[in-house]
This record gives sequence, C-alpha cells and structure tokens, in this order.
Amino acid sequence: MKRLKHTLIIIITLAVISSCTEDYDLINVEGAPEYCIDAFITTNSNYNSIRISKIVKGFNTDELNSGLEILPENIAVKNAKVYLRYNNKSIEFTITEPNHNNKYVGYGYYATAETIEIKENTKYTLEVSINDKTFTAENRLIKGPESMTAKLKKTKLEIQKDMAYVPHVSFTDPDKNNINYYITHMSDNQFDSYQMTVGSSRNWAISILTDKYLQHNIVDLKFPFGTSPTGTSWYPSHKADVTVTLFSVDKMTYDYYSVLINQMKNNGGAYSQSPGSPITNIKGEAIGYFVLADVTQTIAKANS
Amino acid sequence: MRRVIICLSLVIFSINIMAQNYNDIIIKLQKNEYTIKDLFKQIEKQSSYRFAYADPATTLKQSVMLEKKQYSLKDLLDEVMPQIKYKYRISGKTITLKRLKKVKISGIITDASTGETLIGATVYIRDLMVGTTTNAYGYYTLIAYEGNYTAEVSYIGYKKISKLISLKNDIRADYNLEFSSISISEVLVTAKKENDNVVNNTLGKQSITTDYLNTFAGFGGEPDVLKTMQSLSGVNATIPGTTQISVHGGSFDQNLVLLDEAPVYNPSHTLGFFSVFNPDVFKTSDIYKSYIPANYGGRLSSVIDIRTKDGNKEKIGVNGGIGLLSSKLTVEGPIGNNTTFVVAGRYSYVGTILNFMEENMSSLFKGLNELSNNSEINFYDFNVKLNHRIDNNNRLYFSAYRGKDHFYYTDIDDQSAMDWGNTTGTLRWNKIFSNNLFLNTSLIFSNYAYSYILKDDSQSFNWEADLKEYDVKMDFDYTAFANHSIKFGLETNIHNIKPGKITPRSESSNAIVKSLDRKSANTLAIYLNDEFIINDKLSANAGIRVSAINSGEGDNNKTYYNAEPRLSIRYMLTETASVKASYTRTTQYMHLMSNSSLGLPTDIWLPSDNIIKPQRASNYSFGIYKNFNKNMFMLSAEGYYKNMDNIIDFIDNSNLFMNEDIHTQILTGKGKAYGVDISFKKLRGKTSYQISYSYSKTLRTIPGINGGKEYAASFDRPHNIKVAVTQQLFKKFKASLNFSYSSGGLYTVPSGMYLYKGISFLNYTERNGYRAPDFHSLDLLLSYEKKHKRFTSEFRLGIYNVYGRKNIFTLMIKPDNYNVNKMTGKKMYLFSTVPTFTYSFKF
Repeated sequence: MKRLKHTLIIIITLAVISSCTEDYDLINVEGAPEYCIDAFITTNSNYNSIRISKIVKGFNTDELNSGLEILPENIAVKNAKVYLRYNNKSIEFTITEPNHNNKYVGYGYYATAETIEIKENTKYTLEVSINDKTFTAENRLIKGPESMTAKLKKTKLEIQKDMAYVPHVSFTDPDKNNINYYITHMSDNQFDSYQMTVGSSRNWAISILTDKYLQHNIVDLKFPFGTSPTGTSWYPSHKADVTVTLFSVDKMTYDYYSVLINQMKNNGGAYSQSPGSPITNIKGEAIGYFVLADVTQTIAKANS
Repeated sequence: MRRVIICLSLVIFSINIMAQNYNDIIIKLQKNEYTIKDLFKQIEKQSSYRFAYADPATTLKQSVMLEKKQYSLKDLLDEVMPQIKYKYRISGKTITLKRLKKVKISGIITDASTGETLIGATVYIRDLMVGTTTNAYGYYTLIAYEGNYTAEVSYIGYKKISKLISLKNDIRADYNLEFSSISISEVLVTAKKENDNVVNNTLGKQSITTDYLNTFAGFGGEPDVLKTMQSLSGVNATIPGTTQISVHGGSFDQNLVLLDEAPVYNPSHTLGFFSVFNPDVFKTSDIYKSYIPANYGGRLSSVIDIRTKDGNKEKIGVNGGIGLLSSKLTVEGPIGNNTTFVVAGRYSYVGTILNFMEENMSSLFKGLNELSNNSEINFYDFNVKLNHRIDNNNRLYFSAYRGKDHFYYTDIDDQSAMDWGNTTGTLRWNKIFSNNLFLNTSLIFSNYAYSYILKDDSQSFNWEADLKEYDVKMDFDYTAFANHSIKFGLETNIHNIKPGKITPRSESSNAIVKSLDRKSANTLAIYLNDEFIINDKLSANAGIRVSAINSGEGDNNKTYYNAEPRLSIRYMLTETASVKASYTRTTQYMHLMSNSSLGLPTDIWLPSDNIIKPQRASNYSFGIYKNFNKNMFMLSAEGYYKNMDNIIDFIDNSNLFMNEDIHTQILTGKGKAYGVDISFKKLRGKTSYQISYSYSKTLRTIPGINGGKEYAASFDRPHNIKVAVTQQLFKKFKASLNFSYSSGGLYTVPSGMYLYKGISFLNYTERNGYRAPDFHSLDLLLSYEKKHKRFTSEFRLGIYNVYGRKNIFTLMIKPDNYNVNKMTGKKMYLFSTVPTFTYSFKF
C-alpha cells in the first residue's frame, strides 16, 4: 500500500510538470514603423505639445523609463522638422530641451513661440520630416461645450473600498443632433495637468467619454479618473482642488484612444480578442496621432 | 396395349433426349464479356434453341461478365439470367425469358448479445450484385428480385453471416450479428465495412467506432471523442491539446456537432481540454468533411454526428472507471422484453487535484508553489437513454444529456468565476410504413447556458446568458426504385437567445440590472437526396437542400433563403480502386461571437439578421482511393477547395461583453481554404497503423482587418502529420503510440513598444502575422485487460507528450498591475510530460 501511495505521488507530481510560462521578447518584424508622433493641438495653448520618439524593439522598459524623464533621451527624436499649416500659414515647431518647470518634462518635445489660432471650419495639416521620410496628418476642430461646472463628492470607491473625493461635472453638449466625443483628463494639480502624462504609476489619467447613452444636458456626471489595467479607481483621497478637462474631438480620434484603452486590458492570449494597433490619421508609416481639440475645463474646488 | 406402351416409351425417350440435350449442349465462348445480343447469337448458333422475350431493345444492349470460356447451356443460362434480372423457361426448342419480379427485403440489424442496432451494417446479395447499408437507426431496405439467393450480412468487428433467402414477395428479415473476438489490433478502422472507403460515394466521410476510440488516450488518460477525431486526416485542432476542431480550414464554430440529433453548442469542458461526450455511452460517430448529404445543414464546414448506445437488451450491465482527473459509472439493461435503458454519469475533480498538489507537495517541488490552492474546477456529465420497441414497425427513443462546468482558478482571476453547461433532449419515433418507406420523426431540445460571476462585494454581479433551440425533424427513407435510395424530409428550428443579463448578487452591490434584448429566429429546411447506382462502376449521391431563416422584429425583421445543391460521384476504376468528386453548397445561419483563438464558454451565438448575413460556402473535392491485399492496406488522397462569403471576423481589440451594438465589432468578408489529405493504413495483423499527411491553407480578406489585405486565420496550420500505431504485445496487452505534428499556430504579436502620453503601448503589425514554432507530441498508451470471474477490468497507463516537448499554447503580453509602464511578454506552454492512469471495470 505504501509503495502504491509512493508511486501514485510520483505520478501525480510528474503531472505537475504541466503548463508553464517563459518570458519572451518582441519579435523582430521587418518594415515596421520606426517613429511615434504625438501631436496634441488645442484651443488652450497650455496643452499644445508635439513629441516625437522612436519605437523600441523589445520589452526592456529600462529603455523607456529613466528616472524622472517621461520620455528618455535615448528614444527621443531631436532632428525632425515639424510644421503646422493652416490658411496659408505655416508654423514651425523646434526641438526644446527638457524643463521640469513646465510641461516639457522629458526629451523629444517640439515647441513654438507663435500663436496658433484654432477655429472651426479650418483644415489643419501637420507635417513632420525625419531624415528622408515625411509624415503628414490632417484634422479639423470639433466645438465643445461652452462651459462646465464641477464639485467634489466624498464617495466610497468600489474596489479599494476607500473614501475618495470624486469630481462630478455638469455641462451641455454642443451638438444636440449628433453624438459628441471627448477625451477626458483629471489632475489634482493644474500645473501637472498640462503634461497630460502619467496620473500615477497605476493609472493613465486619460479616459474617453461619449454622450451616446447620455442626455445632452449632463448633470452631476461622475468624471472619469482615467484608465487602469485592473479597473481600480484612483481618485484623490484628500480634499484638494481637482482640475477636470474635456477635449472635444471627432469620432476617429475617440476611436484611437478607445483602442489604446482596450489594449491596456487585453493580453492577446488564447482567451482574448485579437489585439491590434489603433488606426492613426498620420500618413507615411508612423504611429501616434494628430489630435485637434477644443478644451473645456474647470476646477472642482476643495471647498465646494 | 403393347402399342400404347411402345408409344409411351418413345415419348419418354424423346423427352429424355431433349432433357439430356439441354444439359449436355456445350457452348464455347471466345471472351468473358458479351452483350446479350451477341451471347444469344452464339447460343443460337451453337445449338438449335431460339430465344423469345419481351422488351428486346433494352435487354439486348446489356453486357454480362462470364467466368469461363465453356459452359453447358443450362449453366450458362443460370449464370446469365440473374445478371440481367430475368428467369427462363424451356419449351421445346424455345427459351422464353421473363423479367424477374422485384421484391423488397427490409429489416433491422442488431448486435446479437446486446440488441444494439448497428449503423452502417451491410446486406449484400452477390448473385444479383445488389447491396445496401443500415441507416442511423439500424434499418435497411433493399430491392432485389424473386428467386433463391444467399444474403451476406456483415459489419466490421462482427462475424459475417450468410443466410439463404427465398424471395417470392416482399419480406421482412431482421438479422443479429455476433461480435467477433477479433484480435485487438484490428481496431484502426474508420469505416463500418472493410472496403467502405473505396465503395461509398460520400466523399470525405469517416467514422469512429468504439474500438477506434479506445486506442487513443485523451488528456487525463480517458478516451475522448473529439480528440480522437483529430487523429483523422483533414481534422485538426485549432489549438493542439484542446478539443476545438478545424475541418478543412473551417473555424470551430463551423462544425455542426450532434448528439443523438441534438445540436451541442459548446462541446468542451474545462476551457477546451475535455469534450462533453462520455466515452462509455458512445456508440458511433460519423464525420462529413467534404460532401455533406442534404439531410444535414446549418454549418459551413462539417457535420459530426454522434450516436449513443441504446442499451443492452439481454442483461443488466455495469461499467465504470476511476482516473486521476475523473471518474464515471454506467448502468444499462433491459426493462421487460421491449425496453432498454442506459444511465451514465461522469464527474471530474481537476481543481481538487490541483489544490491537493499545492497543499501537500509544494515543499518538495518548487513549481507547485505557483499553483493556486483554492481552485474550483470541476464538471459533470449525465446521460440517459430509453429505447422502447412498440412493435415490429414502431420504435420510440428518448435520449437526454445534461452537463455543467464550474471554473474558478485564482491564478487566472481571483475575482470571477464561470459556470456553463449544455442540456439536450431528443424524443424520436421510428416508423416502418412498408418495405420501402421508413420515417424518423424527432422532437429535439438543446439549451446552452452560461454565467459569469464577479465576486467583489461592492460590485458583485451575475451575468447570465443562454441559447435555447427547439427542433422538429421528419426524415423519410424511400426505396421504391431499384438502385435508388431516396431520402427526403424537413426540419424546422426555433432559436431563442438571451445574449446577456446582469443582476446584482447582493443588496450591497453597486451593480445595476441591465439586460440585452432577447433575440429569436426561426429556420426551416426541406431536402431531397437520392443515392443511386448508374451502372456497376458509377454511382452518385445527389441532393438539394432549401433553407430559410426569419429573425428580428418590426423594421428589423429579415428573411433569407438559400438553395444548397449537393453532389458526390464515385467511379470504380477496379474492384479495389475508385475516384470520387463532390460539390457541396452550405449555409450557416447561427454565428458564434467569439473573437478569441480558443473560444470562451461565455461566447454568444447570434442568428443572421438585417445586419449579419448568412455565411455561405462552396466546397469542391476530389479523391482517389486504392486498397491492397484484400483491404488490408488502404491508400487515399483527397483534395479540396472551399470558397466562403459573408464570413465573420472581429475588429482589433473588439469588445463583445454586454455590448448592445455588437454589430459594430463585426466585419464580414470572403474566405478561401484549400488543401490535400493523404493517408495510408494497415488494418489487420498484430501491428496496425495509419499515417497521414495533410496540407491546408485558410485565408481571409475582410475590409477593415489587416488593412484590407489577405491574412491567414489563426488556426491556419499548413502541415499536419499524424501517425498512429497499435501493437498487440501479448494476449491481453496492447500498446498504442500516437505521434502528431503540425505547423505552429498564428498569433498577432507586437513588433515594438512606444511611449504615448507617458505610458507604454504596443505596436502590432499584421493580424496573425507571427507563426509560432511547430507543434509535435508523442503519446503512449498501454492497456491490460483482465477477465475475472464475474467482471472484466482494464488498466490503462498513458504518457502524454513522452519526450516533454514544449509546445506553445498561447503568447500573452502581461501589463503590470502596479506599473502601467511595465509589460512582459509571456509564452505559455501546454502540458509537458503528463502520465495518466485509469482503472475501469465492466460487469
């Protein structure tokens, strides 16, 4: 009996040499895009930024993450020629050095001192030349809500079960006859909000919103905190002013961000949907997007 | 008086002379094949006899084969007449011919010891060169001619019987065949008779018997119907190691899987590692890969028709088994003289085994630490069947199945659990109206239900969905005409679908009640099929199925009609070789919304509607078949080309969960699949084997996916090699070796990582653009059967993946839960070497 038990244990144990995982690095694909162009032009010049970087060929995140630099130098593209053209006007953007006192926290930013007029019914064309390659993109402005109000409400978070101060907003959609699309951003620091970068190590402060299933007069809508792979919410736990911003965009831009958000939650395995890159409006085998947005912003005051 | 005697003697003498002349006249022939016209000329030339017959034009053109070059007139007439279906009478010097009367012989063929009907058993009358096979209910009907003959009744694995029959009028003849104590090695047969592969005119049809099933061990050591099916050429796993099947380049939802006529919508347990079919109730299974007869419809690629046992008519039998991962028990037997039953249950305790290993052995073996210790992974199957013979012409069957899975594995997700299961029921009435008309009427119910539970207290919810189908089928077998076997019938289905409903699990939950609109659809199909013999070399199977679906309400109501012609032709090159060709048009009205490679139990089926059109396919196939050495060796090569339109695929990163606008996630386009299957088998002797190679490509062109460029489906695996060897070692020991090789599967993988708005994202290039390393695996099974006084036992020791090949199961990118910048790529391998052990018994 003892021998049988011993034999059985060995057999069961051998069965445990079962499914296992191994790390693997990215597959080298010939002809894949090399550059990412992140162009964000809005009616609030504080948010205007164009950042150009290289695509990394591996999962080595050390290449992408060097200390406080949101975009490290080794992947920044510094020699691009960047122009924004509209109404026969051509505005040049030039490379700018990182400056921790403003939104240019990191390498690869291109900036301009000129004023950009963002208007409806105007076509805006972005042109980026890197070495012998040229990339272009076009976009038009979608008008957003005239104004927005916000107040903080103390709410118990669903997953963490902690209390947090959640901004609730009210505004009226600009177009009652069509669906309106927004990118949202939330920050407990107005200065930091201009960077539109990482909300925390655990979430991306950007989310998306559409009024497809909402009324046009929106009252007390819980403002999205951003996106997290785990679905957990990261609203501020202490009472402080919170800047909430709506960027009104077209459907194609909304879809671009929607796919990025889905990608954060999709591991691409046998039990997941086929992953894919979002459809860009940049022509010429680069990834990224040229966003043109109308900004509606307010601050949910701590004493509201 | 003397004169009278002399006269009488003269008359008698004359008669004797005449009689002797008829028997003694020798006819010499120059060749072995004659037209009747030429043969009668020879007879009339070499004797003083003359022929008289009606319908000379038709009769004279027929050809007959003769074995010898010299016959007596009597022997010659006795040999020729059955071939042309005539009888003769000699009057003086005149040979008068009269056409034989047609008679029908029909009946049921059963296993002599259990009473189980035998599907595909053969009845053959050699003198007339006519034969037929039993249908799915063991019933046959054959048109023969009056006379005295020997009927040969056979079925693989059973002793052939030869019975004298005297046919003057239509008769009913039931036969019982005894199981043959064949050598165990004669099990690599995928047909009901030895030369079925050459003779049958259904191109691409293969069958699995119980003996064949037992030569393969599925995962866990137990035979598995769907995994065994993957050993057939042209039938591959979408992901090797799982039960999901791809037939001739089709996806797994394009196979119609039937259990006693009831469709099974999810035939897998434990996320694809076991099938729902209990091998102990399995009787036989037919798979139609190329030509699909007109009585089947509803899916594009194949039909897998699984039948369960009827129950032992003679005595109560008990069999069961205990294994590492599951245990089972079956009871069958008679109830009175006219009724039999089968009741079977199976339960799997995979989760318990995993928990046990983690709790008790993790200190000994490092890798066990990674396992969860509070998993809940289990499933059960329950089958019941009743078979009642009302009288010689009426039988009733009731067959039901219920199975359920529970899956909660914390290593994958500790916040959610899934439950899913199938329920099917079939009530069937077989009616023999006459010797040439048989009817099967079935009332069928099928339900697939699934639920997803989110456990988190603050937002816990249940998500439930189900699909119900109600069918009525009437299938007629009609054999009024010689050389024609006609089938016709109708089928109507009602589909009722609940795509999803969320309900909070407790009062403290923040989840809201939300429900997607129910969907319903009705389908109707009528068909006509004729299997007929054109001449002794050529036969055909031709049919048409006309189908329709109506779905949606109000402005969304939509009806589609489709005609689906079917044709298969077989030409005998020689007695042991044939060529076949077929064309099959199929339509699919129910579509699986599954955008994962493997399929989740929470995927939903939706009907064609005003947005989703029916999928359609045209399949062209050709095959060559040759048997050697009295059917001991079989060689076949089949090629196919399939065109598909309105096939469905999903946008990148699609979201189907509780999506009211699921149509926004779907794109449709065209597909094509082509390939060739080559196989060689040795069926008898102590060593039997089969070797097959198949090449197949599956391509799609769908605007909006992969930039509109053609891409391969994820289950596209061009090269497949399968080798199965069975060796009888000693009297009670048997060994089976199974090797399989396939090209690696396709995955959509990232080619680069980039920073966008501060966090890392992945850049993906083409859909299914990366081919993983090839898959190959060697499995070994040893079995020992022992007969005890009152029962028989069997020990089965199996080793899955003998040399521990690391076959990729999936590629994943895992974002870090605590750092949105960080990602790691993971290859997950399927099982390495897995030994299994099962013990089974039979009373």
